[in-house]
Amino acid sequence: MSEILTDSTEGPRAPLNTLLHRICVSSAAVGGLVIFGAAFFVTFSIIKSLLGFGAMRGEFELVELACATSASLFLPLCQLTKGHVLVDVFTGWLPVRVNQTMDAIWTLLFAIGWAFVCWQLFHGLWEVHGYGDRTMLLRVPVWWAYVPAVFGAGLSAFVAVVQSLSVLMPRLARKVGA
Amino acid sequence: MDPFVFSIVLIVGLFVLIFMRMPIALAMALAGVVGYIQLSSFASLKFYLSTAWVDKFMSYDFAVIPLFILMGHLATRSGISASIFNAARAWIGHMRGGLAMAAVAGCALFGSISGSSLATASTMTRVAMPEMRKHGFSGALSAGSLAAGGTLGILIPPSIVLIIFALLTEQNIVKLFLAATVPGILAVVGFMIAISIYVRLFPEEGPTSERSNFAERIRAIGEIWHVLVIFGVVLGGIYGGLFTPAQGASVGVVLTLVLGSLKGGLTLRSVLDSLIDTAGTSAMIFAIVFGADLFNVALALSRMPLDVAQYFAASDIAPMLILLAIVVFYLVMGCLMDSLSMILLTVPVFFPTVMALDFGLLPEQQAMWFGIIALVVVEMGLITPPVGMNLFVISAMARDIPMKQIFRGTVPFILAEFCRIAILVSFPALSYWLVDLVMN
Amino acid sequence: AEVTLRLHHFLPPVAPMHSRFFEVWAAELAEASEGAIEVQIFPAMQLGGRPPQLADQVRNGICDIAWTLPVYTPDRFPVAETMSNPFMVTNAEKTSVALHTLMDEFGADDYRGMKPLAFHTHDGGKLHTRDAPVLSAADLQGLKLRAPNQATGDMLAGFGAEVVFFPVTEMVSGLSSGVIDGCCLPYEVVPAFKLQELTSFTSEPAEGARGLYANTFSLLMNEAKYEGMSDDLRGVIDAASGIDLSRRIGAQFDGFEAYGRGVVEKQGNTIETIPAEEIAIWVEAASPVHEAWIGKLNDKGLDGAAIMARANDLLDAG
Ligand code: NA
Ligand code: NA
Repeated sequence: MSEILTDSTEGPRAPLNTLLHRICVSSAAVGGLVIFGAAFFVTFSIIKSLLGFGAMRGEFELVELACATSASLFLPLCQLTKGHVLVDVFTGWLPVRVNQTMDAIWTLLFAIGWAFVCWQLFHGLWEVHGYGDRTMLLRVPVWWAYVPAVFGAGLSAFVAVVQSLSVLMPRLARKVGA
Repeated sequence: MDPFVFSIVLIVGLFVLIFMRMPIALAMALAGVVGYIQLSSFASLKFYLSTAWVDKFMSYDFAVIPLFILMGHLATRSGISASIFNAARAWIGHMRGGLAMAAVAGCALFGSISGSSLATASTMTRVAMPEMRKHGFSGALSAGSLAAGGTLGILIPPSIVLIIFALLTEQNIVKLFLAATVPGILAVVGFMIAISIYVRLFPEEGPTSERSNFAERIRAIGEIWHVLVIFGVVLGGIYGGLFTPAQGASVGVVLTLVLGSLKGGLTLRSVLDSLIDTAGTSAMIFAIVFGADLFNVALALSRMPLDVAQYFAASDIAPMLILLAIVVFYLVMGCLMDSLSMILLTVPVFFPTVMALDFGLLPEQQAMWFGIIALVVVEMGLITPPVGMNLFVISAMARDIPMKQIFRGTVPFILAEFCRIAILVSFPALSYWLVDLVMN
Repeated sequence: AEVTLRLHHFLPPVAPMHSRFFEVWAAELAEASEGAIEVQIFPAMQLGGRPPQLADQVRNGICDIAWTLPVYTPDRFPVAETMSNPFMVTNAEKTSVALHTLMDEFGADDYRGMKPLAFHTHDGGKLHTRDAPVLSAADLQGLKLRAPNQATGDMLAGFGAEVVFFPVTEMVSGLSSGVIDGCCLPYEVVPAFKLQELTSFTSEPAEGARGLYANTFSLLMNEAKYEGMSDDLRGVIDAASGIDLSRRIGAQFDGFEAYGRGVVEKQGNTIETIPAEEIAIWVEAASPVHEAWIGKLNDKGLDGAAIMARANDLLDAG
């Protein structure tokens, strides 16, 4: 996982890949900063409370929002770097080409899955927005938490499409520069 | 189709997909979608998906996971593993096979601030492997002790797998952390014994090295005071009830950042890298949790877990036999799958089944006992061939050691693990008496 | 069975509500319909999602019946939420009947797309504390208390208490470590969290006075599912729901309350009574909270003052 910043895909990278890589890493970094920020906020709140000034209001809610946000923003990078766990003992004997094709088909399924989730989350966003639901103390609109989720699922879907098509339809892939 | 039969078909299909190298998160989600549509409806699936991702992870409990992962990655990048290994080596390095023992002890210490097995195995391998090889340790023993030591990362709290188990079964995370302490110490002791027997059988594989004097030992402890501070504040605060687990993990992140930059080699660049590492590890976990959730809802809709639990509760089969069958199942599956997926996949069926059996324990004790046994058995999967994540990590970092030798090196530790599992199954109290002692 | 109804709720199967109400009620429906209706109970959010979503799950047919709390989704069910203001509850049975009547008269718009089967509350909350009983507003000064809902929290904060909103599980560790001094909950939840071991004092309002607060609950059914059933089976559902069911659940909660109080007594904890005169002062002090609530109802296009007055009439008459 440490090779992420210095991408290891062979050959010179096409512009679309470079761009996707940058976007996914940035998204992950922002998600990481959100979790980082939550850790600092909570620590500050604890110190404040230990000194007798009372905890920060809405600490729990903030941590919850941070968790949902970072989970969503982390996703695309995991898709891009093929970070999802799989079992390969039973297919190891097959030719590399067969394995690659199988992976590409699963990745295409992943793309369809994320795209569907993204579309549904968008509906969810709209619905929650319509209700005007807000968190109890901070009064943060709940639909805010759906924005990174729609983004994360959508970007993951796009990454997966590019990845699988570049294997399944190399000629087409070359045309779009993937 | 009868829902029960359907659920069995679903599970078989799921395993077929997984063994055809479909990513586990996707396979579980797909099986879940099929089950959901069959047992409920497409319309309700759409509604479920319109909120499930946000709803699942907008959670105070789940926040513990990325926080502990970030803390572990910061610790890894800060380079404190070197001073940890040096301290362990100063104290026990002179014994026969001492460096291997120091590697295990170092893993235990690192595991006490990191919740991940892979992180523990890889960071300790980076510092301990070259030293062991330099002192004439065999590739087998070096790799075996580090692979086994790495499992302490999830056994000794904090532990991501244990957090997931607690969330799945609605158990108290703090109590489960405490419950894992005695089995964790047992593991360290077992690994030490395994090493000492091994080096008596094959003396040339694990030579002795120079003894440190007392002043050096004290100095070496002085070099890891910050690790002890982090461990003491975070876990002490959680056990003492001063922090919730999420608060403890947050304080751990800040402490590791501060002490890691003061004492170790944390730079702005390595902090950024830690954030990216955290993203990769967390997203993998979140995706599996999300897929498993969908699959588990489909299972719940089929009522299969309930039927199975009721069947075994009413049957004449001895409860211990059922538990042993589950242990064997985990051991076999552990050869093929990773620990987290296994827990997510099996606990919804196994947990109600075990809880419905009568072992003469209080429900909470029984839950902790089963949780610890499940943890230990799936953790063993990390070092059993052919699929052992720790073995892969070490193999990737020590290219000169053939995989065959690595497998051979794990044998003594797997034997030690079998003994420990037997002990934990035979004496349930080992998994809960500390909790009773501290919390009640 | 001709009709299978999936009932979803958030409590673990060991909770009395699950074993002594849902399972019993499901068996009654099966019997009354001669096996035509099967109620499958899914406890502990087994069908996914989190408790605040239960109402939406019923509306969207993820489950057919759900048991939920309006306060989980603040402002979504304003009329039903009215009874969860401080100093409304008398006891669980009477308050549940009053709530059901109030919903019949004013709450038709709250639950579009759903068929409410029952509305109820638990008995009034008590103050459970570690170090000293609470007998007057002065005792609340500086006390770190876990509040059960926003309105009650506002009231306690008005007396100078330092209010926190921990989830219940965090509350348990907070109490054992002394991060908080106490909490405001009915006796009914005491056994589940072993509160009797974590606190030493309980203060309850004097007999006859209104309770500190009570949360409201609703048992909801998917409307399309209900409409899609045969006349006979709808009749079975009708007979097993409505104001009588609300009364019955309320009465059961009074029973849970008495049991929980027994657990506290058995532990040897001190149970003190907050005098009626003192409660009168608290009620007076809580009037801004009630005014704010009326304003909120008005904002929703409802007649806040009328709803509040009617609720009080029903409670006083009950
Ligand atoms: Na650990
Ligand atoms: Na394995």
